[in-house]
Amino acid sequence: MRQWEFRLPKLFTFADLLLLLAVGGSSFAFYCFRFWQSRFIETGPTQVVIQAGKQIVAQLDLSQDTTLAVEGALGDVTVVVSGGRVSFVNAHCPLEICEKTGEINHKGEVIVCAPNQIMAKIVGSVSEDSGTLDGVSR
Amino acid sequence: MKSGLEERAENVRSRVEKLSLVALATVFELVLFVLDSAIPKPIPWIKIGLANIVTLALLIGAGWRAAAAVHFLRILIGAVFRGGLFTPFFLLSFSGGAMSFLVMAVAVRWAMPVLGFVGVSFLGALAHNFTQLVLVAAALSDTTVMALLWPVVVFFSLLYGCFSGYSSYHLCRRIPQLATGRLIPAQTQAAAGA
Repeated sequence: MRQWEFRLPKLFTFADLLLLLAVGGSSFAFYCFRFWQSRFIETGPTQVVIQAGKQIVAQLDLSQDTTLAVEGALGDVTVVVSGGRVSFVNAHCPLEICEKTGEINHKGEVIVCAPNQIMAKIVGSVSEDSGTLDGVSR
Repeated sequence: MKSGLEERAENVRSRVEKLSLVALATVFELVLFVLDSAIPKPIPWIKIGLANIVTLALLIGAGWRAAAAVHFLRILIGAVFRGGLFTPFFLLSFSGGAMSFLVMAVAVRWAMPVLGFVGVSFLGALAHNFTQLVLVAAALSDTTVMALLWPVVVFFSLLYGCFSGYSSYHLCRRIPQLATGRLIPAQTQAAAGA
């Protein structure tokens, strides 16, 4: 009678555990380090650029709370920078779309007041886009 | 003492057996490979590596030659099934597969009593994903992508590597053909004497 006879290596050994912990732990530490590092790069230089017509009226740091009156086509628009967020108030425009936009705080976000021809856009001096993915291939 | 004819018959028998084993295992891998593409995953481009379960089992049971034949046949025929043979994606898949096979073969040969199924499988998954990541980073000439995705890749290699190591172990236990690399059990000493 023929029988199957074989011996298998172990499923999981102590060395396996060490390997998993070493590689997993080191990459987790690396990830934490990068995350911690990125906080410093991104928070500092974020600014808001305010344009009236085609001219740049002001460039403000988001970290400093300020209020600025910008002269628009229909009257003064108050731009409020507070707690790292930008909003328009008291725009004197018919639809008040700019006021309804609310607060913006991320790079690339804009508030536009078309009747007053005023625009606020958040920019960052560090190119953060290079770190994000915009596509996936498989 | 065997006669020349018996020896030759044994030789032919063993070669036919090997061929049949490779053919069957390749089909097995292809089924798993297609299944792998069909399973929804959190990150679609990191595959579970279901087909590697069979490769690992063969590396342990049937030796690296048979395992290499099955592994590379599966990559080639699998690309035909999924479409995209000899496209850049095939290159990605092939180099990942080749690297993972190399690492697993070396690990099985030199590190196996120390490392278990899970460790070897994890190393294979890591090698596969690492190679692909390096190639993608080279193609985009952007190392930021690599640094950003590396922890993700390690995490999923850990998860899927453990899974396929576990599966491979139990596959070997349930399918002795994979664990021994033979289709018919060998005549044991005790059985031959009886």
